[in-house]
Amino acid sequence: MMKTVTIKISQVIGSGYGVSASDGKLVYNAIANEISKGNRVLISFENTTRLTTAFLNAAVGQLYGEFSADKVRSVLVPPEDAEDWQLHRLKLVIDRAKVFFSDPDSVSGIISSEVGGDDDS
Amino acid sequence: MIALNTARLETTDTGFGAIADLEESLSNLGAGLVDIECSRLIWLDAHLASALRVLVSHSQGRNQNLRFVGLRSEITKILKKNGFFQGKLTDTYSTTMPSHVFSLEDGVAFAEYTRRYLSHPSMPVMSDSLQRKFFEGIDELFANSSLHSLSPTPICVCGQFFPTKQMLAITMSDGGHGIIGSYEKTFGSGIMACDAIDWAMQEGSTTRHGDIPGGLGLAILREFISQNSGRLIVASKRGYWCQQGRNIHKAELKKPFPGTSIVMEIDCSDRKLYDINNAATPDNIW
Repeated sequence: MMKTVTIKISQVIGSGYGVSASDGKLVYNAIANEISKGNRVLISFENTTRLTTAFLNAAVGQLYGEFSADKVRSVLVPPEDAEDWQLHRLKLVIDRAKVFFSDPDSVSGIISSEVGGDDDS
Repeated sequence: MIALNTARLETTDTGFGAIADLEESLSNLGAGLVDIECSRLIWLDAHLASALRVLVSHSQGRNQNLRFVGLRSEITKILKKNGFFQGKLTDTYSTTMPSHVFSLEDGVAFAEYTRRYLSHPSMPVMSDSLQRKFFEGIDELFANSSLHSLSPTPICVCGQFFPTKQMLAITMSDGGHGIIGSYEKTFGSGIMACDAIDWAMQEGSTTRHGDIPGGLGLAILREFISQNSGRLIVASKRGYWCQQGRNIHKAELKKPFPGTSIVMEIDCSDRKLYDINNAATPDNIW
């Protein structure tokens, strides 16, 4: 029976610094491992204080190269404990990964529009 | 003896050009003790110590032993405080992020280094929003350097807070073959060094194959620099590139800078609230 397994980023990488692609790969491996076992995955951002797009690309963006978007949607439940800005970065990375893996030449177009309205005063 | 031919060593094309000139002069000398005459120098951006450290590292590779002579005492003091010179002085005001070398895999150690030095009470009291954006920006820069540097040269980091100007500055330098080196290795020659930097600073530019392209983090950082009215500066080989606010200035240096330096300077008095209007919803994020 399919169960939901929580993967806490800070536990997998041993710190609150989700900054390097190599640590992102650790999270990717943990997620892919649970998917291969037929489980659902809940990613928790609890205690993750720093985050880069390089880390998120390696941790979750690459999932879209391995699995279809429908498959990813069916096995990943909504993330928890993420601050708004972390969710926004996650969304940017996911949107870009979807486009890249469906059509690698068309990536650059989506970014400027999304990042352009990034900040507000 | 060779001379440092500038009065102000700043993060300008002139400043980086002066370091490039020194590198050129040193590369034409043999092993042994070399005096660098610095009596013209009246101002040094302290965070440029990381670029100077790359210069020293290259010289050591040629078995040269450098001695900086004729320095004004206040400049010597600055370079002792941030650890560029031996005999480290205590940083009474704790406004220095000392010179430190990280390997390309040391992103976590770099993050911890920045947290540690910026948490000192003498460092700027930034809004939570600004501090998060600063950390995000420098983490993205470090991650980008780690991913896209094609040489294993370490990254030397140095930072300085300037209380009067309310400016926080950090420089990351490596002694590698520069952005144009990465570009030419992938795409061949035929581009100016400053244009190679400009290309690298655009979203989606990458010299890697098969991965999701980098550049998203740089796009986020550049938007932040625009909003903050700060500066993002890159000197790499003969190229100089500077974003100030939304304006870009490019220049070619007469001599090649010994690697790549990236400088981020931000206005710490900025009280904008960043990222308040673009939260995503967890429920449909995948």
